[in-house]
Amino acid sequence: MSEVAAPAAPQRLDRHRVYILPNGRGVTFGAMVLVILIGAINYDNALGYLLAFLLFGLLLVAMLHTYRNLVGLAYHGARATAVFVGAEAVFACHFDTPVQLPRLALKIGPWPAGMTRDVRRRQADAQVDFDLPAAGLMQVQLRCVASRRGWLPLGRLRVHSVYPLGLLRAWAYFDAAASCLVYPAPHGHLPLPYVASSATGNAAHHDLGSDEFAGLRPYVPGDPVRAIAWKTLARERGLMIKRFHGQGTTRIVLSWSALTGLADVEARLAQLCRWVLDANAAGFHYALEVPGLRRDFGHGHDHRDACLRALALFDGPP
Amino acid sequence: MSRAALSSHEVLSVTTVLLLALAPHGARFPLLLDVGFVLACGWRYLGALGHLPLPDREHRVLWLAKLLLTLVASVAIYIAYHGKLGRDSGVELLAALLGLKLLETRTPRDYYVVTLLCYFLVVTNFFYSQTMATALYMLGVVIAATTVLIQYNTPAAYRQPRALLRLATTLTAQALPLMLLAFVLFPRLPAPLWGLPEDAFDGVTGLSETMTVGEITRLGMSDEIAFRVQFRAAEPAPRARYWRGPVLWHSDGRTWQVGAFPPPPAPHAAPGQHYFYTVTLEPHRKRWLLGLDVVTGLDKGIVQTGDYALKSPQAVRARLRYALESTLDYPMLGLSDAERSAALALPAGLHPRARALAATWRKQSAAAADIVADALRFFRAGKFYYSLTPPTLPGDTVDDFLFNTREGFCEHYASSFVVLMRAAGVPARVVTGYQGGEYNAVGDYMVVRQRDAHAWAEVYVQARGWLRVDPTAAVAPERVSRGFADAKPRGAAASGLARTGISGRYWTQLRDSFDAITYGWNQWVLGYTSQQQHSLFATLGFAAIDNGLLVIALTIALALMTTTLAALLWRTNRPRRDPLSAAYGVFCAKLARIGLARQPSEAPLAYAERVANTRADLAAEVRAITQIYSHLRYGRAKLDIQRLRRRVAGFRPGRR
Repeated sequence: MSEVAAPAAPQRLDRHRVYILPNGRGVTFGAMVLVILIGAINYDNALGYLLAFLLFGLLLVAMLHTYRNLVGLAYHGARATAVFVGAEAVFACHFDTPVQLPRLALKIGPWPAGMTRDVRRRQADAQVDFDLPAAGLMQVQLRCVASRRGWLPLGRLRVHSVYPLGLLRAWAYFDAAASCLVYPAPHGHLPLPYVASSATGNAAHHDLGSDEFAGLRPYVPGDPVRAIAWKTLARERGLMIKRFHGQGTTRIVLSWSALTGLADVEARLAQLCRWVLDANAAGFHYALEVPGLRRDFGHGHDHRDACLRALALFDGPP
Repeated sequence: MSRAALSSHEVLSVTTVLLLALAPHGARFPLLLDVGFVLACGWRYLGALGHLPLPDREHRVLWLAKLLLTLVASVAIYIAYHGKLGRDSGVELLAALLGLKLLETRTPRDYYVVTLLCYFLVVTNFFYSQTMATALYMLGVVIAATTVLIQYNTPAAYRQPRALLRLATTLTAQALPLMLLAFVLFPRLPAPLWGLPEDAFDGVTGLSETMTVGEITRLGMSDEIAFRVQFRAAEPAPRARYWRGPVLWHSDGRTWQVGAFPPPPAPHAAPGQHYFYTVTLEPHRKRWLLGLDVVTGLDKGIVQTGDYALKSPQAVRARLRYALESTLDYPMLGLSDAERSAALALPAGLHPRARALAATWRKQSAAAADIVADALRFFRAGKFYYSLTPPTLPGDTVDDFLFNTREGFCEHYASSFVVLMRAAGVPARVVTGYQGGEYNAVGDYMVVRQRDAHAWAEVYVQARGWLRVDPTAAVAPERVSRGFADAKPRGAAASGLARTGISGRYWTQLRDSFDAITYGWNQWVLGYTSQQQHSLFATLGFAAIDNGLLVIALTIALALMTTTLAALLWRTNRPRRDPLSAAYGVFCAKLARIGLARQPSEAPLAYAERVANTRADLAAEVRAITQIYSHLRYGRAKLDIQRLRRRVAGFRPGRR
């Protein structure tokens, strides 16, 4: 399967990009410190003063530590393997820290701007925990459901942490700069357009014959291992595939225009997707014709992925 | 954010901290509460391990039992304290509810609430004890509670107990300078916000001519000097150092006031030791003066009242020096009818229980000595406590004190004792003044401080005159023998510690140092009040500092300190440079200074050759250093990096 990568310059969090505020627990803590202080003032209790100030100092120090937990963290982009509609896209996000300081209890998740409260809560639940060892790097997998074909962008990411005291939350945003290609979901029950159906206009061709050896051809990714001509390889003449008469290759054309029976664009694409997968599984050589694009006969992973990509990015009949 | 039930480790640590924070209260709590609390902790821990069911919704019977226990505990405390929510009852109630709350800690929120309450419990201890030991112990509790918070937020793989404790200690240590700054700079209010006596601070510089219960307590907190005394020859023993001030006769049930009676008969010859001394009184804006009980000879210009108190013709507005002569056993004879009726008067309708008690004594014996003995026995046997922070007495001060709270300061004891005496038909009056005084060996004088302020009683016994009775001494003898709050060395002879058998120079030295530290603690930490704050800034040259300025200074100081801390923290946040590259970098920098900078793409050996070709005089050294560097970097030979550092340090290329 093809990989859609988003190589980009690492985004390192400098001090201006990290935000920090007390969370609900921090506010409770602050209120408690205030109560202790008021008590100390009223009863003129010197140790009460000391305690209130110590806890206040602790809050300030915790702020620095929570902040430091994020500053310097770098995001190196994400990779995602293409998926079909309805499946989960998995983004492998890469993070690193250059310093001798482990970064603990980090949480990361997609965080589009302008979310409603409900969406925000759901996003918060979907966050992934991770820790970075000192001077280490880490791959974090973020999952999101692919609901539409085409490019699924990861968008903005939010990383946040309340470590070490849980009283303050530091957070920062990364531009994920990564997308996942989403193929149409394979659907439809129409049979593959075989030779027999050539009358309908679909071209099909059979290499008929006996099981005699018919020669060699160059290897194409996806060819069965047992068909490799090992002797040829041993003579250092390259990776070749043995061909036999009678084992012949079926050649079919998967055409948009053959699906006039299906009115809906997406239904047609789903059927074509089904056909591409089936034809590929059967080891046929196939061509794909959609309005504005034609992929010539071919077979193997790369050909299949190219066809699926064309279906994923198809932008409507003319 | 939501997490499953707490792990047994988390439960164990939060329970431990809770027990640590409450431990000092253990001795003060009723045994039932102690036992119940420990049982609740054990139950919760076994529940976390899965050995026991916990009182939750699944175990409805247990849950109801817990609810019932909560009610019973609250009602029991309510009844035990007669429905008054004071210091003791408040802490007990908090502990009881916390123990029961512990049983239902399951969500992270509960866990946080209990941990935050651990911090809060620390402060409840300070209402009972403010010694240095308490402070250190409670610092430990703060670190422990912080460890618990960190443990909760640390991922399981990183939860080594030592690392958690170290981080908590680091955080607390970094908070300490912030705490000190805030402690020094935070403006102190001269008056409490609520709840303490209303007239709290109009007479802070000394005793006034009235005494309201709770007033001397306030003086007790002050380390200010009241007066200094220089004895011509011998000085009285610590327990005889009663400095007589205003004598109070008239009571309205709460406040005592001075009386006005004709002067006493001319002094007559008295047996016993005579003391000659000079008093230097700090200005207190009142007319009365102080003298060792009983003054038998005075300077001109000083008036002695009928109750042997001393008065100056004008209010003392500047430091005043006067000479006196005193005799300890001088009989104060003579009781006029006016004096007798004043010394027997009680506010109408008040103190019914005290009157009833006194009547039973009176029934047994009419002799004054017997009644005094009865009263002292009552104080001694009745579980009375001497306390600097007694509960307030909103109702009948005497009855409440004698029969309910039984916790008070000298003025509580003196006033209620006098009420008991008068109710039993023995003429009695309250004497206020100071008790104690510490000897300053450096200056060869005795210092009496505001915290030595005291109140005692005098009863009139036929043929023997007015006799001093100090009911406080019956309850807290050390108050009289060692002085207020045991705070300061009173000279080796005065200290009971000196005679404990372990004598010798080292012991004395140790004790003196410890006393000095305690003294510093009392003066600079416990006694850091509004006035101390102002005098501190006055000595620093800021005479007219007000609270607004203090707040600004505090904000700036905290910001600076936090920035400094941040800078220190960021330093460790920078990528650490490889030591080998650093050493080699120094070498390259030295060459760059003479115009032979290394090109970014240049390999060390190529660079060395280039330098060697341009500067034949440096060739040998440059090649040698580069070779050591390559050996360290790529070679298998185990070389010491110090060798490279030394060689680089000794490398001094000069310009040609």
